[in-house]
Amino acid sequence: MANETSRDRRDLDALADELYGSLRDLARAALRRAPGGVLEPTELVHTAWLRLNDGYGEMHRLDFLALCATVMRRIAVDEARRQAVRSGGERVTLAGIEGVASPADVDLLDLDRALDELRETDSRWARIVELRFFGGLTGEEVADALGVSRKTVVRDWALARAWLKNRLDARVERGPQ
Amino acid sequence: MAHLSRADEREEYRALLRDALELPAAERDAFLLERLRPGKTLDEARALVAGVDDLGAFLEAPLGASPAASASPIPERIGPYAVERVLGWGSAGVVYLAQQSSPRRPVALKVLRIDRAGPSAVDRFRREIRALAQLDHPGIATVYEAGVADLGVGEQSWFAMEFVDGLPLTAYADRAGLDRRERIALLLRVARAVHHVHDQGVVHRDLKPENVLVREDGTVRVVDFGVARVRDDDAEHLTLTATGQVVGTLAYMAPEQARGGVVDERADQFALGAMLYELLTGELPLPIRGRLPHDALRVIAEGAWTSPTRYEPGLRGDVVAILATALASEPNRRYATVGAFADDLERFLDGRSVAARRPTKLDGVLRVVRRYPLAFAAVAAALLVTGAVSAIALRSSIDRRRANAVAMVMSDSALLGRLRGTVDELWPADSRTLPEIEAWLGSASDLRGRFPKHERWLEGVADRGESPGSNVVGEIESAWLVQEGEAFVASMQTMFAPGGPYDAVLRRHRDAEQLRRRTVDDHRDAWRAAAERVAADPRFADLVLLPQEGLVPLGPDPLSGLEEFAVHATGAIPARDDPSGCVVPRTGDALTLVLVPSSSGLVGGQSVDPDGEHYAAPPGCSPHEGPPVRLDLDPFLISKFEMTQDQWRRCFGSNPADWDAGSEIQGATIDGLHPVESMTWEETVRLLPRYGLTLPTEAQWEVAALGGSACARLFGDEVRDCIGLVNWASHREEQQERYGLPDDGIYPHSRVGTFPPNRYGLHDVLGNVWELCLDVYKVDYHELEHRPGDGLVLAEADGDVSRRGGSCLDTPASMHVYARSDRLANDRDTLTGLRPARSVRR
Repeated sequence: MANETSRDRRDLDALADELYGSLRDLARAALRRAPGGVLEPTELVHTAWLRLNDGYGEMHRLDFLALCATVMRRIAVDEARRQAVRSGGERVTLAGIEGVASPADVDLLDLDRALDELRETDSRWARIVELRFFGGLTGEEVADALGVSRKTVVRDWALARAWLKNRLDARVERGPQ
Repeated sequence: MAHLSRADEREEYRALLRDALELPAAERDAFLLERLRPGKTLDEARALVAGVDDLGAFLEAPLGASPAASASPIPERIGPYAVERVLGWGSAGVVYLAQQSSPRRPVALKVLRIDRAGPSAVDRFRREIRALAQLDHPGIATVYEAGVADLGVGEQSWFAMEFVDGLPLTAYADRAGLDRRERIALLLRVARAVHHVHDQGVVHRDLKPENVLVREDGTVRVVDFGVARVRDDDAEHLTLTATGQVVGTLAYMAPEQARGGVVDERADQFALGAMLYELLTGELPLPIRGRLPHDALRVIAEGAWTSPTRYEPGLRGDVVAILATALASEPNRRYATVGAFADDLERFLDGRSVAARRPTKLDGVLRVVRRYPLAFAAVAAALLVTGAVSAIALRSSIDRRRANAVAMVMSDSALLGRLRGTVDELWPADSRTLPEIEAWLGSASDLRGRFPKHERWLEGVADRGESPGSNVVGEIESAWLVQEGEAFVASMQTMFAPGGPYDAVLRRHRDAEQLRRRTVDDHRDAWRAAAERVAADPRFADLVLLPQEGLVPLGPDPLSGLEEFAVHATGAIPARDDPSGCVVPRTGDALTLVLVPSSSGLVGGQSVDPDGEHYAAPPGCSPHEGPPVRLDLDPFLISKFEMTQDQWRRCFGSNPADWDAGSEIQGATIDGLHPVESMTWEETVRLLPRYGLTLPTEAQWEVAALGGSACARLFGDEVRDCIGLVNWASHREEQQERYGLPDDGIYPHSRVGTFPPNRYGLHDVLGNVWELCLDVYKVDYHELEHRPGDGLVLAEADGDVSRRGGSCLDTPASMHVYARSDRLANDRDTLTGLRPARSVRR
């Protein structure tokens, strides 16, 4: 996984593009169903597996869930942008996004950007964040998906979060108060 | 020898940090100081390891979940039960396997996570308990107990039910190696249980093999009543979005569910039929495998099944008849109850004759008539004319006359359908479409002339009563009358009502007749002058500009020197502003197009080589925005401004904009000269051709946006070069900080033409709203084939389309001419508008 070639990456990107619409339709439907309700990646992603896996051939379930995590990230970030538009708000925290219930006071667009930077530094860590945070995969699922031990995932997950937190904190300190 | 790759080094570093975390917090720093040399890496490592200690809840819980809920994944006890493991997830809950101590037995414990559940989920949960409590049948899992527990994350509702250690229906049948009879008997048991459920006033609504568990001894249990409905509730129209279908499965969904109709016991019957079908053939009755949801829903709503004999030719006619009845697309044609369905299965197993009617030849004929009325009518008419009809029992001349009348009325009904269906294809209203418009009007008025005769015939059939008589003509006649007659009359009335489709085509005919005169003949001199200027302009190579029907020449723009034209049918012909001589946006004015020179142009940018071509300074191009490739483009016409809300409303009758004229957004009042937005790509490409227009390709857009310069940001390569010259997200403080840019005080999109034009006289190519392009969005756009002439990327449609130019809420990352973005074709968003284009007819 750490050594994924650019070719693999492109195939994955293409699949992600394809999945994006389907998954976002599911997400939208889920949101409409429970106005003011909660967008739950875990449920959504597992539902997506049940509903869509036929269309994705021989893909392993975990690979599919991992792909969904990437797509969920895009959906969440797009949704954050959309709501920035609607509310006229400048800062979109997770807590403020309709349909995304999370007490984390994190600017989702900042997080998205920081995550891009993290990918440059350590793609494994970025991947873990994507899988766990955006895809709602459990530690065990992440371990299986990446082919490493669960213990490794737990520690790397903590380190990746620390990396992102340091990065975001630094940004806030530098920014205008 | 052992050369470490960057990835290996990184893994070594990660391992070191992981080791540090193994140590007590107090010893970690010393460990790192010992292992790493002083420098950046050490500093970062210390910061990371120290950071792990005060992460708190940061990103702990997945997006959308509350941190507490996922921090304590499995409670040890709930009520009197000891929890063992997770069995599965429900829509907003978890199902655990748990042990009850007395009596000692395993239970399935369903827990609703109130912290994650919206009100509708709580409702569903209560409904399930209520539904299950009413049921007492060996085929239904029993509820033991329900309660509320505090698991440290707030109160959680739970209930304990019988734990069924079994396999899903189809898996069981395969594992146990059941033959056809045994499979039918198995489903019969399920149907009996479901019938009991219905008798108690409960509809399951989510029957599928996974929700029917079969124990090793062959006893069945229907489970998961999470979306069940208790019939005492008001009859509800269940739409897909309201029922929790996200957790349901499409494969067993009844057509009326997909259509958003009333869902009752008969939907459960359909699901049972679908499961029987699958048990017998291994396939699903509706061909939805491998389709994406929206497509699958369409297939289900149409309800056209594949005959099971296609997979299992040996299937008995009676079984096919039972399946056909249970799986009928119209709920009214199914068995009255699931009990009746079960009875019929039993009759079949006992070797008695079944109640389900085998599809007759006539059913087949009628199905064909319904689907292809025109073809049928033509065949019928041909048979009549040749006298071959006697073959299908037309015994008397009366029959023959009646058959003739049927054929005529069916043929005209089909003609009406075709005429209505083609109204929207008779565009643009110009001389090329004129013959088609005239043919349409001719057919329509002939049809109107024949209608009184049809009306008399319809009355006659109605008078003859319900009894169709004994012959084929009578049956077809009355079947047609019941199914299509009323719709035919109503449809005729709509078609010829004042202001209806017929009137609209008449108006279009008048416009089409006059267009050539109004745009070409009346402006001969202006066209000739424009052609001469173009011929003298080296940028146009050898373009011979012929008069373009539908456009009115406005002469050259004083700044760009390029020819501009008004799109006649879209509004008043704009007058050039005095004294600037430029076209400025005014309410009521037509679209203005600019004739862009042919180019052998580079498309795409790069941020690698500042001295190379098409360089964009940071934050510059993403990988999917380059590298530049050379594409040959013919001259084309593209709008000087983004299309306004005023223009869209005048052209297409409505204003889809989210920030629409009259609304106030962050202190700014929107008016009709703001860009139209929130239209779907699909409607845009369907509607624009009415005025001979289209969307530009990405390549055309980029060439027009660059305006013959090589400046990524119109007025230079750097972000600062567009300060005050584009409407972008300058309100974001962090952006002001990062790029040292002032807030321009504008939040939403602005009137088109507020900001200065580029070198081709195009306004607002950057910022304001994204502009839709014709191309399918492809990440590897620059590596793909492109259509000669307009550079359209040659790739299969996949629902994503491209847009260019950034918007008023985008940051400098999107603020360069190479920036690309994707969007769903059927999406509507506030930040995407359009800039229409048109090819040059030669």
